[in-house]
Order: sequence, then C-alpha cells, then structure tokens
Amino acid sequence: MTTAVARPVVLDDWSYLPRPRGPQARRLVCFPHAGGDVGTFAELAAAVGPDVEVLAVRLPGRGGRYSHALPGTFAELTSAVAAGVGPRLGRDAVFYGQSFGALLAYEVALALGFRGPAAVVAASAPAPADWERAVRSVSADPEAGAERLLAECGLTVPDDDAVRAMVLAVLRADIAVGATYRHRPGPPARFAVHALAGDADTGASPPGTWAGTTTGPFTSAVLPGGHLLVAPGDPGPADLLRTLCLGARSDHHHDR
Amino acid sequence: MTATTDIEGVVAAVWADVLGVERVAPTDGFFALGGYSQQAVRAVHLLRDRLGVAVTLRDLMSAGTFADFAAAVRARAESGAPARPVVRLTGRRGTR
Repeated sequence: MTTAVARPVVLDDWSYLPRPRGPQARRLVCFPHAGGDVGTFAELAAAVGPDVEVLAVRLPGRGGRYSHALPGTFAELTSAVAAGVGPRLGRDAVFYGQSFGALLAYEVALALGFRGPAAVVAASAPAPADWERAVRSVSADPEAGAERLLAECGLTVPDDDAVRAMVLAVLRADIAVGATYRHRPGPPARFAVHALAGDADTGASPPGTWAGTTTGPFTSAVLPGGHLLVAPGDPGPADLLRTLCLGARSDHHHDR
Repeated sequence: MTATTDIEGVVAAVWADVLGVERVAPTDGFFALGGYSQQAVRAVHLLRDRLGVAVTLRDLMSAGTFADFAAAVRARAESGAPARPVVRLTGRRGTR
C-alpha cells in the first residue's frame, strides 16, 4: 500500500493548500486568473514538490467563498489579499500569478514591502503600466468580454447552462474589478520579477515589458502553452517554478 | 427512486468519491474538506446521474454543511422534478 498523500487543507478564508508539504517547504503563492479558483493549481501543487508547497489564494465570490463579496476596487482587493495572505508566506516565498492574477500578485507583493515575497512570477499579463489600456476592450463590454476571455483561456466549461452562467458571473465580477486598476508610478519593486508568456497565446504582451517593474533581478521567457500556463489538469511549468522557488532570496536578507 | 432511497447515503458516497475522503460528517462543508469549483460541478452531475434528481450547482454552493445539502437534495427529490439529462447535444447556441 502506498503512503497516503496529504489531503488539501483550507488554512483560512484566504489560503488553501492543495497538497501540504510540511513546514520545511518553500511556499509558492498562486493567484488565479479572472474567473479562476484554487482548483487551477491542484496539478501544479502535485508536480512542484516536495520542497515547494503551493498556497492557492482564495478569492471571494467563488468556491467556498461563494457568499463573500469581491471588494469593489482593485486597490481594496490588493489590501485585503495582502492582509489575508501576508502572514502565510514563510521565508523567501515566491508569488505566481497568471493574467489578472499576475497583476494582483505584483501589487500585493508591493503592498507587503519587506514582508513580501522574494520573487514574483508574472505570467500572461501586460505590464502594470499597460494594464488599463490593455483591458479597455474587455471591460467596455463585460458580457462579450467575459465570453471572449473564456474562449481565450481554452478551458472547457460543461455544456450546462447553470454552470456556464456561474462561471461567467465570476469572470464578469473579476473583469469589473480589473477595470478599476489604476497604475500609480512609484518606486519600482526590489523583489525579483520573472515574466512568462505562452507561445500560443495570441495577442499576448511580450513578457520583456515587465523589465521596468523592478530594480531586482529580472528574467522573461516564452514557454510552450496558451493563455493559461497552469490550468485544471495541467501543472504548467512546474520544473521552472520549482527552480525559481528554491533559488529565490529576499533582497532584505542581503541587507543584514 | 422510492421513498426508502438512502439519499443521504448516496450524497455522502459522492462527496467521499469526489473529495477523496473516507467519511463525511453532517457538519462537514464541501469546500472546507478541500473541495473546489470543478469538483463541485462533478459532484452535482454524479448526483443527477445516480438519483435522477435535479440537483443544482447553486444548491451545493449555498449549502453550508453536508446536512444542509442532503436536505436540499431530498427536498428536490420530493418535489418530483426530474434531472435534466447530463449529456446534451453539443454545438453553438448563438449569442445570449
């Protein structure tokens, strides 16, 4: 009989461990795409261990937080996530976000300052300074925008009206919050930024445009894949993420 | 399905199967047990299949505990609404 795999754990309203790995593991904090939920990261959590543990961010309005209201603005969501997830990072954590989640990961990392992650991996998103212009077409017509985003994500939604309606409702809510993002130029980040994009993601922003977002280390790469590098049933670039996690060092540790 | 169908037993078996747990307590929550959205959809479809009852995803999302959800399923069963078929014709349905 094989050893039982540790079952998923809900830490609190904000944090979910799809595959707990124990206190020695580095945390890879994962921020879902618009309309997405923690299940997106189940395969990644299985693939990225044993020394890296995925912590999936639980956003309001979906899954177990179905009855919780999403904050009205991106700034409020950033503050709420930072407060909720901040205490769960551990040493030298790395953030991973894709699409809407990439922007959220970056802004939450900025908000946390010296308590924040050592690195942010931003996948499939325009750089923060380009975000408002990039989402204008989606947020101008949220209903059509949601349908289009759903198609871009390449996810199969069950051919079930009620399920589709719920998925689109979450997607529209996230799009509405994304439309309130305002980029305020300020001191660039000090954490490392690694920008990724999928080679089959038509219309994707070149990941190199994130270079100006940090004074810390910066890398960018185009990888095989579509708009969502990590998806339900697809672990995405687990080896790359594991390497980035195990190599990450917080800048403030160097200051001592 | 008859009045003696063990609805709670079937619901518990589906939760256990989908969530990968051995047992489900009346006060357990689907998501608190580690469930996520895609699993909720699967659980609802399995229940429609096995019980022939029109359980909805909203029923599961709104239920706080297993006991609440099982009660909702029983209420649907007793209202007599048949489940919609799980497998439907594919094809574009046009814009909505």
